[in-house]
Amino acid sequence: MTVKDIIQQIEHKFGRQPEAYCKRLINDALLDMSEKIQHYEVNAKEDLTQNKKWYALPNKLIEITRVDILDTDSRYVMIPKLLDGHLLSKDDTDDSGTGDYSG
Amino acid sequence: MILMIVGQEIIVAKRDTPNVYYAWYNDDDRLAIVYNRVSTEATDTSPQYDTYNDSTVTDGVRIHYKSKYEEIANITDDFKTNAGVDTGLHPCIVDYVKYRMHEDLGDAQMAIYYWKKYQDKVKKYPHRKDGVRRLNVPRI
Repeated sequence: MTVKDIIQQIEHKFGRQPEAYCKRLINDALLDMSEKIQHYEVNAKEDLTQNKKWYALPNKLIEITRVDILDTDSRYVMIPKLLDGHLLSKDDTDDSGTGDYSG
Repeated sequence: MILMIVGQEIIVAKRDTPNVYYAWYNDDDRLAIVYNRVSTEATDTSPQYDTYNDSTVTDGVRIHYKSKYEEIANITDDFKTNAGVDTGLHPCIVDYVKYRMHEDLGDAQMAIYYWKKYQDKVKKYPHRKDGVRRLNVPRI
């Protein structure tokens, strides 16, 4: 089903409507549904960067389900989540995004 | 692989078994990737996780996440392929748009009717596709 199909259904009942208005309402519907259902899962790749600790998360993210690291055999391997990462990390005082580097 | 010597201790940033040496945590906007310093000192009581210090790896991190649907931009966009909305949810979009339009027109009775219709459909939508029944325990 396309956006055009939805707009045609709407216009059948409400008459001609501005396209931008319809698209805004449809996008509001998508936003509301994604918050309630949370079944749309995607993945994104980032470079594992030297001396970089913090990686920006996408705006559309709701919840991280899993993180993988590319191993030396070019396979992605799932890594565990730290529940108390801020307590365990070495001198975690840097908010600039690079974190502390002990080298 | 890089070897670093700090005092008497050799710290190794390994990537052959990432599940042993690496871990992650996050705040609202950022994801932290840290690795275990593999201390050889029995008396070392300092925190064990540190920032990754080996050479940069292209596409070295893969993040899986539950996402909001993609926004539609064009009238020809398909909800399944462009926005990621399952086909079973397409009627919900129509009900939501009708609810908002009735609300904008000041017809509260019809707005409530379509809002409830929308809510019912979303609530009944089968979230699990693996067929396994499980408890939906709220996160605290």
